[in-house]
Parts: sequence; structure tokens; C-alpha cells
Amino acid sequence: MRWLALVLALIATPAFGAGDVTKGGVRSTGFTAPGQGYSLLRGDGTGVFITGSAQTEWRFRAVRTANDEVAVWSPLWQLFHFTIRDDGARRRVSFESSFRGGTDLSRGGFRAEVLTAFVDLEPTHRWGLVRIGRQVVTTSGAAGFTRMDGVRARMTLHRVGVEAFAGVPLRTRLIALQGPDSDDDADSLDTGWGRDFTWGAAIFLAGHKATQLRFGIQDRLRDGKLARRHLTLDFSQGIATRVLVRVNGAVDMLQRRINDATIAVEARPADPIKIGVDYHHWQPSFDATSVWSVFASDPYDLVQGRVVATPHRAIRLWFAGGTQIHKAPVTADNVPRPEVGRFSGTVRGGVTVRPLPWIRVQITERLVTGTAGDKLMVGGTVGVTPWEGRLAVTLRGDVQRYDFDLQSKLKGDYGSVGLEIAGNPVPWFRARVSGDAILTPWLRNQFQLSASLEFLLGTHLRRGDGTDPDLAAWEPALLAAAGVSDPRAPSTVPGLDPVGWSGR
Amino acid sequence: MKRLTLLLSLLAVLGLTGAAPGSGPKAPRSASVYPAQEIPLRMVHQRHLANGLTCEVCHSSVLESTQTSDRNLPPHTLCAACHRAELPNAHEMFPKSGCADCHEGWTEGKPEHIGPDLAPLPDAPKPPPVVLPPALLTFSHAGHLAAGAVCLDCHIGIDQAERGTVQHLPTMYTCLTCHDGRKAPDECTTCHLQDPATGRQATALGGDPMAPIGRFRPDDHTDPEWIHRHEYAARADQDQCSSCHEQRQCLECHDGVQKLQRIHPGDWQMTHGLQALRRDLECKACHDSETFCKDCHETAATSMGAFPGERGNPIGSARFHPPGWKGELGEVANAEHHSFQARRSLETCSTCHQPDQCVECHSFVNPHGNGYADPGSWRFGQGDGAVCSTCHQPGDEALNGLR
Repeated sequence: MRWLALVLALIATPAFGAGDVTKGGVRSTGFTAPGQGYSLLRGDGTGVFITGSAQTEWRFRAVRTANDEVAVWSPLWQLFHFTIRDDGARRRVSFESSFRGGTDLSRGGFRAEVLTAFVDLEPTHRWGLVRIGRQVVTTSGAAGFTRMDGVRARMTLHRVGVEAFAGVPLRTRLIALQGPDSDDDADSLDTGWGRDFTWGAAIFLAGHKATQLRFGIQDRLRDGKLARRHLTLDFSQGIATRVLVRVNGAVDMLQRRINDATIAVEARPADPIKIGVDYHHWQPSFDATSVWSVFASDPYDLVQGRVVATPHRAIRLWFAGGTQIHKAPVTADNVPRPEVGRFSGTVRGGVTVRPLPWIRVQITERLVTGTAGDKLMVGGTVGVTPWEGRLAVTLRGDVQRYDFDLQSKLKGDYGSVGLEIAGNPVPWFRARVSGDAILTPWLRNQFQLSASLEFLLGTHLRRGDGTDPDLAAWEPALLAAAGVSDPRAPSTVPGLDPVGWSGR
Repeated sequence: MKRLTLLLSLLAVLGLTGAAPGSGPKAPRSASVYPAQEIPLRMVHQRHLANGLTCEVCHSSVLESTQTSDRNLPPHTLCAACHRAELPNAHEMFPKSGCADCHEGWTEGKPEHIGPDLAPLPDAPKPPPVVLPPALLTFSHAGHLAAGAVCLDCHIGIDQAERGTVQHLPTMYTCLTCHDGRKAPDECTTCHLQDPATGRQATALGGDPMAPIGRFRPDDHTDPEWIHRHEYAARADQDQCSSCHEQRQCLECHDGVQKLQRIHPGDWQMTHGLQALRRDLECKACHDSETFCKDCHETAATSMGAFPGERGNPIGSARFHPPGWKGELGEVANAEHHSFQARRSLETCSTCHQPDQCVECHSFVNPHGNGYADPGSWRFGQGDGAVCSTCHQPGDEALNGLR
């Protein structure tokens, strides 16, 4: 608590240098906006954005079971999003939240959850950030993609930054709605509160044009016991905008091994061509507090390459392939098993053609072969987006041949077809409906229908000329959004009076 | 020396040695920032500068220009101060001053079309227009000049150029030279326009959506496999993502009720087992396996029996696991034995099975791989030894040598 109070106090102190808006301290949001018309296209430095949206999602799914019965799911979800962003020229405060609740129309039951709800506090010039509340944290290693109740703080001094987070990881139990007759016990539906905990810290380089370097450590505790401890490295270096080198890695400190490591190099010898080579090493580990951690899991290495070519603005071709290399398989009592092999290959490719800006035709293929079986997929997509993208119709389909020796019952030819229609007639409304049919000899045929509606509601408060805001100063964000696509957006930076010119 | 030669050869092959480093006239400009221009003019900047002119003589309006929609081209009357197009022998003069000498390919202009104020007469034929759509940026010439910038800091190469084009407008690589967070702010919306609905950077400004293309960081949104590779950008700097995205957008997929169809092929439900066994995807990044997987596997009766013929649904489990999957104690495992797949992808097993199902047999069939008991390979006692005590009694000599 002391630490938190200190950070909050730091944020609350008068912002140094905030008045220096004519030099390096200029912030985008520090501009006043005396202009007319499309002035909302940039921050006016003193405004407040208040945005809310409501989203309804419905899904109908029918599956024929092994007993020739038809199983039906029909979940209906309602989502609400609400954000407030203070666009102040000095420190900035913002709030973002999402809520979701739903029921299954065919099975009953009701679940609801706050997905995110956090406050951001940023001082002048963004040299720091404190985020408090239910939020998502993304890092390498043990934390990974984690939704948590907690605090994340970041501070940048000169070219180096430090970051730390701590909180209670949450588990989402909303994907599969539990019916009233569900036999799952309450424990399986909890959200993570209890003795689960995660924390992490990192030191990183900041403000470098083409360099990212970040060292981190994360701990994951389950039921009060240390389950994972990972040291992580994330590095990337751009070279003359033509080459990008990336290294990512996570070391499992409890099981004393490299959990995963990636080295990737991408090059653009010419603007229309991108070439990449990746190397991965994987040996994912389980929580040390779980019996799963006892069972040995074999590592593998993966080498793959890829080429993306865009010879013309309307055509893009890409091709990728790689080999996965496993340790020589043996049984637990060291009997060699040559029949399962060590190598597994993947070949992927595709071509996208856009004869007109609003028409897209895409064909992709994927061939997987090797130790785990063979699978060939060819798919196609045709998409049209007329009326400046306000309508999008996408038709897609694929056929697959599945030949998996170790699960021979899955052998066969499969296919699917799907149609999606999405509309965005006005900036504040979106609607989408889609249907998919899956043709399968194994699980029989399946069908799915889904739909969603989304309304954007919001306002943007402008306090012009330093006067107190009044109702007339509130502008519907909906109207403002209508101007986004207008390329004539002016931009002004008053307050920066020209005092000289050393131009040639 | 050989290594150095090899490296230099590689660089040459990659075109690095002769490539412009992203800031010069040869580097590509984004059409999402600089809409297409049409400049049917002949205007040799190099020659004008060589004759002693400076930028501000012709482009004096930039001194007060505060927005990209300002048209900072010189007026016709200013050009006419030297280019006396109204004279009969204008084309023969120095500098050449015939209409077609500047208005490239336009032959309708005549000296008599110029009025006494050196401007074209109102009823004179019009040359092809110069189309200069404003850059989709927040930018102030006046502000930059006040901060000490000079023309060539941004307009690299214009002093050696003939016609000034979009290629002489700065790339982001050039902008970031000063906008590094210290000398000048590096927040995206410092330059890029702001979405009025969210306050974040606007990405839909007509034409193609604006998105990073991976020239500085591993964030190439145009990559055909970006949806599978974006984790690396998020790992290294999640705040960079939040310049444009709200966290709700992450959760729409990672925690969403509607999964994006384009991530998986349409028949993915039938064939995902192969990918899961290859472990080349992270199912749990988007799915809560204990509920999401059970949802189908229970209802479609494809699992939850530990092995065929045992508990749970015998029909379903038989459909999922082949004969021989379990094996018999003491036999040499065949190709369909579960041990192979368990060692290749134990995560897949854990989707449906609880570890106590494994322990039923493995409490007396050694589950540990080779080298498991080697000194230093395992920190014994992790979790207060609770894991080991699942099978091992205190004092079990199998625990000797482990820390």
C-alpha cells in the first residue's frame, strides 16, 4: 500500500515542464483547436472523450452427436463498453471498462462478468503510467496473456524504463455457459480469486527508433505455492528499415530449461519482397505444483522460412514452409520407435488478388505431413466491400484431406462453407450475420449461425477558450466520427509562433 | 575474414549496400499518409538553388503554415518575377519563361494570356491543375521552424531534385530522428490523426487502413500470418499496441464469444487435433480449454472416458482414441500407444483429462523420462513436495539424490 500511495502521490504532484509546450514538450494533445470543421480529428488538449457502446452477440450451433442426437447451443450475450479519456495537455486520466453477460437460450443459465475496468494515470510527457484495476497484461513467459485484478506501473527515465505488475489472474468461464443442471462444481467456475497470484517486473530500453530490448521476470503462484518462474528476453533491431532481427525467449527457472526461444530475421531486399527465416525451440512446461509436471514432455525445434511478394498493389503472394524436429522417440523403457518418425513438415501458401479496391479474392493452401499424420487444405475466400467499405460480404470455403495414421478414425475428406455479411452504414452502428456449414464424415455435419449488433454512443467535450464547459460544448462523437474519412482534415498548432527561420 | 566476406556478400545480396535507409527519396511513402499527387510542373529545385534562391523566397507561406492543408506553393505572380511569361520571346529568355517551360506538356498557353499584374487573365485557358491533397497528419511548418528545424531536415534530397514530389516528404523514419520522446514527443497522435470516438490514433482515413508495416519493430500488420505472429509485438511493448487498440479488442478474440473464422479453417473442429499434437499453436491463448473443449467433447461424446471401454461414454471415447491406445502392462507399446502423443503434446491430454487419471496407472508405471533424476534436473520439493508425494512415500529411496 505504501508503494501504491507513493506512486499516486508522484502522479498527483504538479507536472514539471508542462508549460514548455513550444519545444520538445509538445504533445499532440496539447494543441488548442481554434479551427473549424474537422477540429475533432486531433486532440484539442483540454477535452474529454466519453464513449460507450453496446454489443449484442448471438450464436446458434447444432452438432450431431455420436448417438445421432442433435445437440444445440444458442448463447446470447450482451456486452457494454465504456471509456472516459481526459485529453488533457498535462497529466492524463482515463478509464476503460467492458462488461459481458449472457444466457443460453436453449439450455438456460446466466453468467455475467466485468471483463475489464481500469484507470490509467499518466503524468506529463508520458514518462510514466499507472494502471489500476481489472486489465490485460501481455508479456513473454509465465504471465503471457493474462487478465488480472491488479496494478501495472511503468516509468521511463532517459532511455531506460522499468515496469512492474502484480495481481490476481482471472479465469474466464463464460465461453461455455453452464446450464442449471450442470454438474460442474462451483470451484471450476471461480474467477481466480483465492491464493492465486502473479507478479512480474521488467527493465527495457525506451525511445529508440528501431531497437526494443526487454528483460523480465514473472512468477505465477497457485494456491499460494510458486508454480512457475520465468526469465524472459524480448529483443528486436531494425536495420535501415530493410532488416529486422528478433529474439524472444523464456527460461523456466523451476524446471531449469529453456521453455521457448525464437530467433527470427526478416529482410526486404526490395520493397515488394519480404523474406523471413525463423528458428524456434519449444519445451513448454507445466505448473510445478501439478502432477502434469512429472510427466516428461519432449522438446522440439522448428525451422521455417517465408517469402511475401507484392509485385503489384493488387496482387500479393506468400509462401512458407518449415520442419519440426523432435527427439528420437523411445518408450519409457528406452525401446526405439522408428515408426513414429522425428520430422514433420508444413507448407503454406496463398495468393490474394484485388482487381478493384473493393474486391478481394484469396486462395490459400496448407499441407502438414510427418510424424503426426498428413493433412492437406485448400481454401478460398471472396470478399466484396462496396459503398466505401460500409458493406462487407465474405464467402469462404475449404476442402481438407485428413490422413492421420495415429487416429485412423479421423481419416477422410472434409469441407466447409461460410458466408458473412457485415454492415457499417453509419459510423455509430455495425451489424453482422454469418452462417457456416461444416461437412464432416466423423462428427457428422454441423451448422452454425451467428449475429452481432453494435452501437457506438459517445460525446466529446471541448472547452474552448478556457471557459467553463457547458452543454453546448458537448459534441456527439457520432457526428465527429463522420468526418474521419475526410482527407481535408486541417491541423493546427497555435501557440508555436515562428520566431525565426534557418531554412536554406 | 571469411566470415566478414560472407556477411558483406549477404548484405549485398539483400540489397542493403545500395539501399536508401528509409529516409531518402527512394524510400517508399505510405499512401495512407500521403494521398496520391499530380504535379504537372517542370520545376528544377537544384537549378533554382544553384542560382542563389533559397527555400523561403518561393515558399514564404510556410512561415505561418500550421496545417497540412495549407498550400505552400508560390503564387503565379511570384514565379513571374523571374519567368516573364508575358514577353513574346519568353521561351528564348533566361530563365526560360514560356508557359510550357513550367507547365509541362501544356501547349495552349500564350504570352497574351498574362495580365499586367503578371497573373493569368481570368478568361485564359487553364493549365492542368496541380493536385496536392493534404497529408493525413497533424503538422505545422511554423512549429517545426520555431523549434529549430530546417527544410532539409525533413525534405531530404529536395536540393538535388528536379520536381518536388511525395518522395521528398519525410518518412516516419525521418520524423523519429527528432520525435524520440525527448527532443520531441513520440506519441503516435503527435503526428497521426486522432479518432474522435476513442481519442486514439485514427486508422481508417479512407483507402487502406493505416497500420505499421514492420520496418522498425516486429509489427507488420500486413503480414499474411500477422494474426498468428502479433504476440511478439504485444510481448515486447503492449503500450505500443494501445496507441490504436483498446483492451476490449484483445478480448474480442482472446476471450470472445464469437471466434474469428479466419483464424482457423472452416472444418477446424474436425481436424484441430493434429495441430494440437504438433504443439504449433497456443490453444489456451484464446480458449479456456477446460470449458471450451468440454463443451463439444462431452456433448458429442468424444471423450471423458479415460480409455475405450472404461468409464465415461464408451461410444464416444472409442471414437476418439483408437484401439491399442491404452496398451497393456508389460507389453511393448505399439504405434498407437498414448505415450507417444503424451510426450509430444501433453497439453492436449490435459485438456480433457485430470492428472489423477494418469496416476491410476503411473503410480506403478514410471512416468519420468530419461534423466529426470539427474542431479540438477529438477528442484525437488517444489510445491512443498506435494507433487512427489502423490506417488512416493516419505523415505522412498527413489527420492534419494534429488534436491
